[in-house]
Parts: sequence; structure tokens; C-alpha cells
Amino acid sequence: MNWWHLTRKDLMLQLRDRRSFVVLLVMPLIFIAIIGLSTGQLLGWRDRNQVVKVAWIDHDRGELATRLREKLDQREEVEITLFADHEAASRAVFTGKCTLAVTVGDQFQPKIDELQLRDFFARSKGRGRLASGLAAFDISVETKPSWGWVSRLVSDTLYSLTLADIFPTVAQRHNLGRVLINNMQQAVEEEETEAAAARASANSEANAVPGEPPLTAQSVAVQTTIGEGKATKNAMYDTLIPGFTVMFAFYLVITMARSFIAERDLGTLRRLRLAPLTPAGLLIGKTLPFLLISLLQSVALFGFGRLMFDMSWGVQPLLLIPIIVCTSFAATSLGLLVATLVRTDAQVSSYTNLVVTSMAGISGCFLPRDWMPELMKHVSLGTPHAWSLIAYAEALTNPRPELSVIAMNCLVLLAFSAAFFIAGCWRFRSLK
Amino acid sequence: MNRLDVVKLQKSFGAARVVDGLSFSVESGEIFGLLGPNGAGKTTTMSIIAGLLEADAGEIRLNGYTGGKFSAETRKQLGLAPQDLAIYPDLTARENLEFFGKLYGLHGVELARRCDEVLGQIGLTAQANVHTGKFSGGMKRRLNFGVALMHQPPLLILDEPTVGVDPQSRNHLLDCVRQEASRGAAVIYASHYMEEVSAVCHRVAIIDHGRLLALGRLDDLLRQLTPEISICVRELPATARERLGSRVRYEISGNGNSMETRLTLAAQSSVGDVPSPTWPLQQVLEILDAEQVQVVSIETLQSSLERLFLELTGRSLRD
Repeated sequence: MNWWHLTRKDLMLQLRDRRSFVVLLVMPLIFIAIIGLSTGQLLGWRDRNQVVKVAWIDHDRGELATRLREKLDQREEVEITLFADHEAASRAVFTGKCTLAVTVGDQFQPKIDELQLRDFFARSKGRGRLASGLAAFDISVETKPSWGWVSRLVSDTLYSLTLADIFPTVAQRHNLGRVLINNMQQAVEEEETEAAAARASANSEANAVPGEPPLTAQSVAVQTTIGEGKATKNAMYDTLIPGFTVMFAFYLVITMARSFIAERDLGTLRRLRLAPLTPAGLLIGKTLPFLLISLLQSVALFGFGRLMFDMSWGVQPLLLIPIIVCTSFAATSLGLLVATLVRTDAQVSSYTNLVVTSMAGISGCFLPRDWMPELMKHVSLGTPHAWSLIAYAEALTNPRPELSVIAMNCLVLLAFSAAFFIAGCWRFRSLK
Repeated sequence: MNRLDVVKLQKSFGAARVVDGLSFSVESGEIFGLLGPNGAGKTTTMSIIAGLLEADAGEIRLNGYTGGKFSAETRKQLGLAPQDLAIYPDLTARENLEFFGKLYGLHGVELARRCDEVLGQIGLTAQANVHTGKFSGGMKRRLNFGVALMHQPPLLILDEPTVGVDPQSRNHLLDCVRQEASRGAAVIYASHYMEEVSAVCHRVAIIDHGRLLALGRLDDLLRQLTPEISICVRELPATARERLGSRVRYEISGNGNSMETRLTLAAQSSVGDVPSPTWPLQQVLEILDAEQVQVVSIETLQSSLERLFLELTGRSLRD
């Protein structure tokens, strides 16, 4: 157990080196906090930037146009500001005060009045007045190119809302199926009443038992897919926090390499090799402090992720433990290998930074892996980071995490660890 | 009983043979001087003895154990003070000693006692709790030496332990070396300082190009050295050089107007401090006078380790 003295010594040196301590523990927290601020979420605060700000210009001023605006405004993710003229609205979009500008032209009502029932049926075949989209209602949407996708989403929403609103009017105007429509409206109202009653019943049951009932897979699935639960509120962080946790775990490689180089430069590595320690004991003694630091760092990041970003720890938070441990094993073993490959501090700064940052980028630490092209997803499996991220995704975002998936990814991480450690030992023994 | 036996040791790096059939032994309580110019193979030899390098051939026997790579238990019998400092600047002197002491199996009361003893021995008791990064060169050097003493090893390997220290620290370190030998440790002492080696070593080995050139007690080695007479002259003409022949060694030094030639005459025996040249000094002086050579000085060269070293290893500069 002589290696334990080496571990203690290195832990003591790391704790005394405040700059190193800041880099290892505080920097990742600061980094994630900055990302939180950049994306408008921190400590429960949500910036208005999270909503689509719509500049609304209404040249029609009719009842239907007003109702359409109110329906859009009811959506949580939309915030509407009224503008009197197009020029002021355009300026608001240009300066970033608004995401996009919607102009309801003075031909809005006349164009609706001209609509025929057949336009609704011809629309699906790409013909008729409605085939031209919002232009059919004299509505235009204007935004900056960078917000093009938001513009398309809002346009589609507006189009759907308009169609839904005007269809009964147009149908009634053409005296078609009045009774049918009335029956359908009545049926919808009855369904809504029943649904409200069911919800009230469920709430009363929940209140009768102390605490919430355990989440069923189905209820979680509803939360995550429909977005009514807390879990979805900061779903992005369920992906980003593990990404950055993995990235920073592997940044320990740099600190480890520096520690080995320092031993070499100080001449103490010679003394250590002369001491009654086996080479494996020496390497374990040098590696263990960083494994402990890595575990502490990961726990701290997940803790702060919860505190600052309200991130979810998944339905079974205990599943995170083996992933954190295996990831730390892989990171510190890679650190050991790199430490035996580099010779100078300059090499650590250049090569190691490049390797670690590239691996983080390839594996999907910076962006959700779901956004990566399939080819890159396959390529990324060459890095331990990717296996760790897949395991985290399974534990954090799957409402029914599969133990076999997590276990397999952990095994692969351990295989990476073993390969790195053996290669590191071999390199160390060959060093003179 | 011999503590250490080095038998026909060989080591090459690529095509260069750094240690070439080196053999010697060091006994308990003996301080053994290992001398050689830069690149002679001293550090490589000591690294092989310490188990840090593997020999290509030959054998190291330490108290009966054989091998270039000793077991953990055998390594406890070795203490190394490397030429380059090997201490942690962010730890205090006591923490450095404690850490290395623990690695060698010391703990608890014994560890604390040894720390106090070594701190006293190396004169750092007052600075025990100071970070060694704030130490002077001499203090660091003393601590570097102290670390090797912590586990009281039967074999101490000291690679130029006094490099860059002031005379006070040097004397203190030499006293420590003598103390260690007196408690029974076998000490290998490598140094470039001849006066240090002369002062502390019982026996000396001079090596160059990995080969053993001389080995024995200092007195015995110096006794083999022939006394010499050195005559320093200005402008030695070719005719004078011809008449003096090969029995005189020439060495030209200086430049321009201050160019001088040193003539060295070997002597076979000496009476007291006055050497008796095989070729009479008087005849040499007569030739120089006849050739009108201006004699600057005449001196007799005493037997010294430095003279022996230079005679064996040559005067040419080494890298």
C-alpha cells in the first residue's frame, strides 16, 4: 500500500495549488454558469429570450384578425407586441427586439370572404386560393435570415390557426352540414368536460396520499414528449451538463500529464522509481488522486446542474454512479497514457489540448449527439467520451432506462480504461 | 563482508559503450570515491547499481542479492542523493522527509524520530516547516542528501552531493557523509572536487570511457605517481626542442606576446620534496641557456589526486 502515500502527497499538492484547484473544479462550474447565462437559464431564472417575440401589425382591425392574434398570444412560447406601422416593426426585428414581424393586410377579411368550400379540399392537392399559404389571407411574416426556421414555424402555426377558425364560418356561409358541424362542436365540448373531470379526480387522489405517487413510465413519457412536466423545462441541460462533465473529466488528462512532467523535471520520479514501489503501484499511486478529483468534479457538476439549471437526474439517479465512475476511470487512464507520451510542458499545452478538445468535439460533448449526422455518430464511437454520453443519455433522458444499455457502455468504458492503463504501463516501463 | 560488488559491468547506448567491464567493490563503513571526467560513465554506473538502469552484461551483488533490478526489500537498502535536486518545492522540509520515509516503510513514532534526527543532521531543524521552494541552494542540497538518509540505508549512493553549495554547507555535508560511514554504511561518492574526495574517501576508482583506470587507496595511488619538474619558458625554438628530445613533455599555453611553453620532466624518485629527474635538470637548463631561451619559472609538481586524475584522463576538454 506504499502507493497510497503517493496518492496522499499528490492530493495535498493539488489542494495547495489553488490555480490548479480552480481549473479542475471551479472553472467547469463557471463555464457551465456562463453557458446558462448565455442561453437565458440560471437558478430558475428564464430570460424572455426563450420566447418568440412577434411584432404584430394589424391593418385589418377586424374581429377575426384580433381573435387570431389572441389565440397566438395565448401560446406560452409566443409574446406579441402591437406595432402601428410596418417600419417600426421592421426596425424592432432588425435590432433584435422582436424575432419576427407579422403583418395582417387590409385585404385579410375580403380574402376570407372570397373563400369557397372547395378551396379547403383543393388545398390538399396544392390548388385553389389556400395553396399559397398565408398569402391567401394577406398575412406576411418578416424576419432575419438567422430566424428563418422560427418564421416557418410561426407561419405554419398561424396558417393552421386561421384555417381552424375560418372553416366553420365558411362552411356555415355555404349552408353545408350545419347540423353536422353543430354536432361535432357539441361532441368536442363533451369530450373536454370529461377530460376536465378526469383530471380533477386524478388530482384529488394525488392529494389524498402524502407525496406524489411514483412516476410510471407512461406518465414520464407524457411529460417528456408533450412537455407539461418539469423535466422538459430544461431538457437541453440534461444533454449539455453530461456533455460538459465528460469533456472536463477528460481535461484532467492535461493536469495529470503536467503532474508527471513535474515529477520528471523535479527529479523526484527517479527517487520514486528507486523506492520500494512496483511500477504498477507507482502508476496507481499517481493516477488515483486524479480519479478522486474526477469523481468529485463530476458529482459537483451534476449537483450544480441540478441547482443552477434544474436539470433532471433521470428516473433512477443511482444509475449515474457507475457511469461517473467508469468515465473517470477512462479519463484518468488516458491521462496516464498521455503523461508517458509527452515530454515537455509545451507538448502538454499544444498536443494534449488539441487531442482532448478534438475528442470532445467528435464525441458530441459540445452539442447534443442527436444533432450529429449518422456518420459522425459512428466515428465518435472511437472515443470513450461517446460511450459515456450514450450511457448518460440513457440514464437521464430515457423514461425507461435500460440497464443493459448502461451496463454495456460502462463495460466499453472499462475496456478503454484497461487499454489505456496497460499502454501507459508499457510506455512507463520503457522510459529511461 | 562486502556490501556491494560490481562485476564486469557493461552498458551501451546505441553504438556508444558507456560502461565497459567495470568491476569494484565497496565495503561496509567505507567511502568509495568514483572519479571521472564528464561522460566517463559515473552516473550510468550509479544508475545501474541503484536499479534505475539495466546493465547489458555483468553483475551487481548487494549483500548477497544479485540483479540489476532489485526487489522492493533490496531497494530499501539503497539510498540515493542524485546530482540534480529531487525534492518537492511545494512541500516543507519535514513533509519531504516524511513522504520519502513513508515510502520506505517508516511510520508513526519511528518516522517522527527519524525526521527529527535527519533534520538535525542536515542542519534544517529551524526550517523544518518552511516550503523548500523558499530554501537557498545549500539548504536544498542538504535536504536532497537528507532524504537519502531517512531509512538509514546500508548503501548510500551520492552523486556530486556538494555541487553549487557554499563552503559551510560543503563541510557540513562532508561531515554527514563521514557520520554515515561511521555507522556502517557503504558510501559511493562521485564528485569532480578532488579535494573533497581526498578528504573523505578511503578508496578511489578513476574511470574514463567506462573503463577503470585506477583503483585503490588514495595513498597507494599517489605513491605510484612520479614526481615532476615543470619549467615554464618563452619562445622555445625548434633547435632547442630537437636537442631536448622526447623525454620532455611540451605544453603550449597563452596567446600573442604572452605565449608560454611548459616543459615537464618526469622524475623516477624523490628525496623529500626534491625530485630527482632521470635526465638531469642541469642539462636541460644548459640547453635552454645555450639556445638563449628565457626561463620564466621552475617548479616541482607534488603528487595529488588532481595530477593523477589529469594524467590518467588527459587534459583535453570534455563535453
